[in-house]
Amino acid sequence: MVVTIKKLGPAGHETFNLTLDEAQAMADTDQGRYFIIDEETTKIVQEVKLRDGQKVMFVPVVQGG
Amino acid sequence: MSESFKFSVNDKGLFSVKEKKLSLRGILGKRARIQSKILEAQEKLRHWQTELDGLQRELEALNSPVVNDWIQHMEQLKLGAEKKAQELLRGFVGELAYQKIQKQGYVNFTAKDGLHYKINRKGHVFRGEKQLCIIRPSELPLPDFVVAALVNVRESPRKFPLRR
Repeated sequence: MVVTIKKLGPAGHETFNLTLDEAQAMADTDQGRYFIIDEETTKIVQEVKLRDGQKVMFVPVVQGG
Repeated sequence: MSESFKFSVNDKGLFSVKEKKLSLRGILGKRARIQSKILEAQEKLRHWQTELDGLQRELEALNSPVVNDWIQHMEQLKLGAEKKAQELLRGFVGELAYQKIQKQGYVNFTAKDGLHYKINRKGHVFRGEKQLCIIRPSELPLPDFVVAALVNVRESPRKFPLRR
């Protein structure tokens, strides 16, 4: 099983198929810079704990002016 | 050069005649000044010719096939990113909301503060009639920005001030 990550960026989103550990490491690294959203529920992933087989989106945190 | 006036009288009246004396020093001085101005003009002409040649070479380089191919490649990438982003937006908001954005230009949502917001297809978010101030990250395709603005306002609505 893998975790599918769609990460939004300048070239459109990139899709990563990662093992749970790799995906969790990416989530931990990008925490604070991205909202991590479950694709099925479109809700934010609580405490950034990913599950095997999960599909998530990394949505960049944007600033207010 | 020195000036002098002479007078002549004839049956028609009195006439004054202005004469200029050209001294050797005066002639040499005037020639030297003209020569100097010519050199100065030639120097400026050379400078602007060099400037013009440089600009022409730069423009020629920017019009070269390598650059044109790269521009075309980047435009293709941008188009691909835009298409991917549209699909992502459609998947994220759902078909119904996506169609509403396309047709009506906006969709409503409720944020964590319990208030109702409206987002349009440009990613502008409104609380009531007032627009929130959100800085668009550079080069993020527009549909991706719509997703980002929606998620950010939904999760942290009070982070974004109203636009004045």
